[in-house]
Amino acid sequence: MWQVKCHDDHRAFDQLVARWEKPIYRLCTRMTGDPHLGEDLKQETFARLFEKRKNYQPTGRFSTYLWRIGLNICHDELRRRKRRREFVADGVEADESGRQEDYPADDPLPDVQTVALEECELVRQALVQLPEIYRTVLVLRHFEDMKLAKIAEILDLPEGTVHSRTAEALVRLSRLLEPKLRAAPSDKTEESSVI
Amino acid sequence: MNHPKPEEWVQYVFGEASSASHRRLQEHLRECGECRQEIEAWQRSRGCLNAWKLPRMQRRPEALAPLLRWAVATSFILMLGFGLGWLTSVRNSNAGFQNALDRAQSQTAHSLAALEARLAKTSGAETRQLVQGLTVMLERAREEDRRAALALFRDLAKQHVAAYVALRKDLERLASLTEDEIRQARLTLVQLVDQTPTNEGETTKQ
Repeated sequence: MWQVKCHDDHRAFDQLVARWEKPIYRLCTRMTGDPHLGEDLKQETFARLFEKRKNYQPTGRFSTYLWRIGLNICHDELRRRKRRREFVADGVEADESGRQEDYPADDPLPDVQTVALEECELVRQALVQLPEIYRTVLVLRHFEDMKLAKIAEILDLPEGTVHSRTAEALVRLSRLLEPKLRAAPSDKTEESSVI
Repeated sequence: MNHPKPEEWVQYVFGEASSASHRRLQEHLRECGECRQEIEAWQRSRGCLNAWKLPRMQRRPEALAPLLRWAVATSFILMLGFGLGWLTSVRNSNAGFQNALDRAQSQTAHSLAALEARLAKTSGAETRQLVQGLTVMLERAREEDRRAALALFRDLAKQHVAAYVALRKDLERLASLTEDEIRQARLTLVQLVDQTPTNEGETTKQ
């Protein structure tokens, strides 16, 4: 990164992208629940990294710096989507059910709508239904296998807060998944009995 | 019964609890059904998370380039192998065909040589033309430079002559002025000389 910052070294930047594009893609996809959007946000992350290369201070770890940029871009995008959704809802009618949606891409993907909800889709939906603060810690801890202390460093939070957020995330996730998982096998048995 | 805090369970579930804490929590799980149920639900949920597999990331085109090069090289080698194999098999089975093939090869070699010679001739003529064009262009450029330099020198000479004439005029004017002044000074001196004896005579008379 130092090479990129001081000498605008494109080759070094290319190496950085090659090293980090997969983790950042995973992060963006899991935060938004949409692989296409994840791909776009990954590119935006690297574009911003290059754009802000002069601001980089090598006092901390580069990975922390990059994760922060990726997360900020995800948060910005999710906030933008939420605002757009609220704007559309206001324009049409007040929410009839009164349910407030504080999650982003909770609609099933188009190719999944036609098929029965599989476990993968159940998990995706459950995760995107979690509020952002809980989804973030869960994505970083479970999928990226980061230590809780590292997550606290990235999010610039006390470690205790990260622990409590992770606990709350697990509680909420269990509440969302358990009924569906219990229902899923019974559906399968019903289907088999019909056949 | 004192239940451990959820924060402690987080470290336990993710394998970050210290060994003492781990033992204590495990002990508690054995005794407390409520906590056991909760933590099992957490672990089931964590296990379910692994079901969310991501689609493969789109590869960058430049990352595919070496692969493409290898694919082209491999297919070329394979085609070459097939061709050679086919030719050798035909040679064994049919000598007449081999002769025809040899003839065709020699004809192809001849035509290739003729084509090469024609190309070389054409390219030689083109090169000569280009060189001639370049020489003419260079000469023209040199001539233009020479003309421009000459014009510049002439301008400079004219400027020098004009300056010389102006300087000479100034000097002549200065000389004439000086001459006038000298004449005037002489006259003044003469007048002074004329006046001097009269004054002396007047003083002697007194």
